[in-house]
Amino acid sequence: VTTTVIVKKNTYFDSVSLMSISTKANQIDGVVQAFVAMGTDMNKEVLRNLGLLGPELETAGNGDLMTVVETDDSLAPPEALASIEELFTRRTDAAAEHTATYRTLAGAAAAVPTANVAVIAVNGTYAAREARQALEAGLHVMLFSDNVSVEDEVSLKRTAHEKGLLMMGPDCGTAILNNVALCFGNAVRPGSIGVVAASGTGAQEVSVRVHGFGAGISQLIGTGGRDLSEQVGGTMMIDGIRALAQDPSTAVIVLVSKPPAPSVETKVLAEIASSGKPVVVCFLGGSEDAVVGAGGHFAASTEEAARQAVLLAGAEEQDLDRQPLDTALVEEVRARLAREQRYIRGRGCMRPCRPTTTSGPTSRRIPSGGSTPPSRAASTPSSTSATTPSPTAARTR
Amino acid sequence: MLTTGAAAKNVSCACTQRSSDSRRRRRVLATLSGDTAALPLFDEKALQARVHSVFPHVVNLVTPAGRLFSLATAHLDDAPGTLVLDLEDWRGLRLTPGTEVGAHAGLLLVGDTLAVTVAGARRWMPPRLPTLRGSRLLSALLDDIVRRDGVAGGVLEADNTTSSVFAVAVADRLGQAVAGVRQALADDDSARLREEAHSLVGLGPGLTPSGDDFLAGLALVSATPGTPAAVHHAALREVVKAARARTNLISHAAMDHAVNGRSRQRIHRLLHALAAGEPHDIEAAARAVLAIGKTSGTDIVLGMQAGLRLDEGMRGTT
Repeated sequence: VTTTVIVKKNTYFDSVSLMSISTKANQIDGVVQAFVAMGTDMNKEVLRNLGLLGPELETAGNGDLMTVVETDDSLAPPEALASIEELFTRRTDAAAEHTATYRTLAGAAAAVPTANVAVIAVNGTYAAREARQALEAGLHVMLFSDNVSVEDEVSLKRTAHEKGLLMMGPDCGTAILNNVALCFGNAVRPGSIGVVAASGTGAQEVSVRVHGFGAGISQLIGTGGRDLSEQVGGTMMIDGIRALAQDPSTAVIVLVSKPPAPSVETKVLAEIASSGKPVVVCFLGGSEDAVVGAGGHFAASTEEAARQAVLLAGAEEQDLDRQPLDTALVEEVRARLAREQRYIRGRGCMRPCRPTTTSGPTSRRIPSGGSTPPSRAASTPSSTSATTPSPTAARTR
Repeated sequence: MLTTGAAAKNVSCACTQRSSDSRRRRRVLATLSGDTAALPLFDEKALQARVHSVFPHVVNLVTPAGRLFSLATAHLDDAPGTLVLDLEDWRGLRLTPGTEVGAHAGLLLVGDTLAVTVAGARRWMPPRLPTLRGSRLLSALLDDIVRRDGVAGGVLEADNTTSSVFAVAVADRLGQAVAGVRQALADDDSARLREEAHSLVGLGPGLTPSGDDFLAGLALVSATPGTPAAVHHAALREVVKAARARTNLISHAAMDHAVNGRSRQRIHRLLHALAAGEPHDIEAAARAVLAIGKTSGTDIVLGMQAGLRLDEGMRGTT
């Protein structure tokens, strides 16, 4: 048995690492025993009593790390040393593997310089402040929080507009940017249809229908439910239309909203002509004449909006599956009903901040998450440079 | 060391980030919360410190006088001499021991790549120590928790069959010394306590040797009014003072804070839970302490337990 000693001067590893290094050293073939300890008087005294305190260890100080390895004939001391040394260096390499969460947006933005979207879900009291900071830092914002005042919304959207950024929300629950679904987005196929919506459920319905018809979504921009109100004035929807007009992956634009304020409706519809792309408009209670007059395609329902968009994107009417209900599945479920069960209700499956699937109020085929893994290749809707949307979740203390 | 002029130049570099010259921009880290005793560091114009040691979640700084300060990552609790920063992990920043640390205009300047700002930081002070009576019940409860959830290998003996001769010998020594400390406490014998505690300093595995962790727990309880160990506070203070030459700076700093009644927030929480006497709270608080380091948390709790134990014949026994 050969004893090899390493003294590392003023070397501090945390206790967990020391224990792990010690355990691993003992597992090396040819190592009879190994241990690692700080070179304090008391630890050296224990070694002295064991007859293990050679001159090298004698010099070890309180801040020095002592490693003692006993090897048998199968392992030469230099090899043993090299193996132990590797254990020490491997610890520091582990840095590359860690995942991180951040307490503040500023911390996250500094640590992930390629991030260009901030997803903010905090108490409404702090939401505007966080959103403003994110915009000031040059990040697009998806503001999930509600209970943000109209005044703050107007001011945030004005700031975003001036900076060429998206201000999605407040109270924006769904978006798909470059095939990455944010918050309650649906796992739908990538495609050429871009959606701007002031209604989250409407937007989800359209995107799922588009997927059901065999087409896909390029971008889905939520604006928050108040965007088309008199006060907010449709700022985000107009900016969204302009962004999609410039987005090379978008061929057809769909606008979805609950009944808009009449003056805002006029303003938004005026954008259609200059977009240069076919625009389908599904404003609940909206006027067909106004839409057609502005050069748009009128849709009275979300399904109709999806159908028109898919056709405008190049599909043939006869190829569309107009029966989105998966009747076989319905029958299968019906067969399992107990006698007292009379209804088959919808099924929803939602996970926050991941591509998710949802279904409508009746049981139907759910777009499978497996069919459309998010790709991270296209450009952001508001800019022409190729960037990766890296949603950056913020949480305040 | 940074001269004031050099520091000023670096700060201008940090703050006028738009300047497009070749000087490297400093990364500015925000402080989430900080020990009020550590905050004055930022105003020391002549601060001359160095990076002492770098861990994944803590970077220690040492002044020429041997005072230790810590920069901790966000998930760690407040602690004496510590600033908790808005940072997840130190490893990406590649700091090395020996790096110069200066201060200027409310910023702590670490090397030429980092600056730490305390603007907006929550101020923390070690909580006031509660009054805590010795109790066989509390001591037995802590003992149960440690036996169930503690980490063996330090004061809590590991299974010797797979250990090295050193580990076995260290465990024996620790066992003897801890038994000696407990006996001295039971006998109310300060002189013997001093001797036995002294033999624990620097003994055992880990960055903070197990003997030191045990002593830190005991020292903190001895600083807590009303405890059986309180009468030995002066003796333990002497042991901790002499320990400076017998263990590393990090380990000594923890003992020194403890004997002065200061510790990590989660350890204070355990003390307060013990004072309130609600078993569920005690258990939850003790678990958080057990999670410190590898065996450190277990060793600290066992030290606290030793200081609370009320034996037959001791003062205060009813």
